[in-house]
Amino acid sequence: MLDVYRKRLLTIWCVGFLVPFLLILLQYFGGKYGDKFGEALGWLTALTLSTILLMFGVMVSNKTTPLDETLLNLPDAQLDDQQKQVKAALAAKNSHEKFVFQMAAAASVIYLLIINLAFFAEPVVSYKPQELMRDSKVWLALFDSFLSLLIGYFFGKS
Amino acid sequence: MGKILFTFLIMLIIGGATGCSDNSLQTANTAANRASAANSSQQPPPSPIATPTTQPNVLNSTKDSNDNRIVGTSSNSASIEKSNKPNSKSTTAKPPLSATPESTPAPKTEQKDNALFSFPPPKPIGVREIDKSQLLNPEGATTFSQVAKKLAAGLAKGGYQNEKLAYFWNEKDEFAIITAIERVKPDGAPLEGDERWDASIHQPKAHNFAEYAKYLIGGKKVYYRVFAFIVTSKRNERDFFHNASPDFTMAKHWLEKGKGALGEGGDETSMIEDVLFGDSYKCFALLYLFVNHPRLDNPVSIDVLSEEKRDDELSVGVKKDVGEQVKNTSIKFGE
Repeated sequence: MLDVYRKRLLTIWCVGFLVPFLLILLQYFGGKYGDKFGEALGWLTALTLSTILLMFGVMVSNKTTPLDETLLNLPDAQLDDQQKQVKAALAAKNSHEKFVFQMAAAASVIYLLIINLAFFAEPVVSYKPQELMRDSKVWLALFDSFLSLLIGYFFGKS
Repeated sequence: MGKILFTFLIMLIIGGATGCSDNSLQTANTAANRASAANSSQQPPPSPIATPTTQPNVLNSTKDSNDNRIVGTSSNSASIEKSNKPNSKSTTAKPPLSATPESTPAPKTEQKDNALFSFPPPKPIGVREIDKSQLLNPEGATTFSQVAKKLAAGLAKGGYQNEKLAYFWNEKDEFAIITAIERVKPDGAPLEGDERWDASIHQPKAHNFAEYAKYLIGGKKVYYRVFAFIVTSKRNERDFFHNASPDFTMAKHWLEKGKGALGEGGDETSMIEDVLFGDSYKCFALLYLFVNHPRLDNPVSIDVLSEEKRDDELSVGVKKDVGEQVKNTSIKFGE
């Protein structure tokens, strides 16, 4: 399941990065930023690209060997005591991973939503894009450490 | 559990250290703010005077001793030199009475307060002479006071009530009526309601999907305008383009720095309102336009937009003709 969770997290981050990235490209051609284009792109890449590259790097270089989880599909009546213990441990591990994945996914979605809102909410507020980017950093800082811990759980282990 | 807590603490410390350091945007913005503070306006240096024989430079004009005066309040009279020939157009500057005969006149400071509207005025986007016949008193001689009332009445038709006008004048023969800074469309039509008089740099909000898409891709362009109506005998149309363009902050403060009526608060010796609007006098309408956009740090005059950075694209579609701007604002004189 670790591979599955890693892929899902990577997908969330890639989508969360690509959408505002394409918007910034459109805005560049629309002349929105002028010579401040680098500021907007730099802000986005500083907040997202390092995490995405870490994920890619781990996935490419660190292949996981899936555990044999066939025991989970067998009824208890067919298992001896030792096999029952292994099955219980596997089930607990899966449950734990699922919980951590849900937290990581939720935190990632909220983090990326705040980043995207800095671009997509700007037409309906009274602030310039640069002001929104600066102010959203306060909110993003709340998630930084928490997110690093959760992402590290999935991409830090072999 | 202990390992998880320890790892969490390490992450908190790293996260806190990362949050304290400047990111590229903050650094760029800080640098941009410092640059904009150091150069508070993006104006080019003042143009050289077109008549060097009589005006070696703007600050030390020898053509007119009254050129660089602070205006509008009697408390500034101490900084003003009086010429021996009133209403003379070509007098050279006379030294003050207290100066020794051999000393040259002290260089005049153009303005003690940069927010005051100076004579000669800052460089406008456009100038147009107003038909004098619309301002004359049909029953006899016309005074400055009567001209000011006719101008104010015409401006009131365009929505410029008395509280949206500011008066500036020099000691004796020039005055200006300045309108409050307002938000306008590119064709000069003012925005509606309270949005018109919003002089802040806050960006407008989108009201429908088309505006949302336009603002999202192209950014929000906000245009600001000030009219200045100058009554003078000293200048022609081309004489208004010698100074530098005003910056937005200066223009924003003209309304509060000016007086509410011509001659208000003046001392008894300078009865500017009783000066006769003779044949030598003309009335000019000056137009000042500013634009704000995400690619700019602050609103700037549209004639100082950088071609290099392609910021001059922001002035595309803007009506720079004073007559059209006046017409689209429903200002009418002489009725």
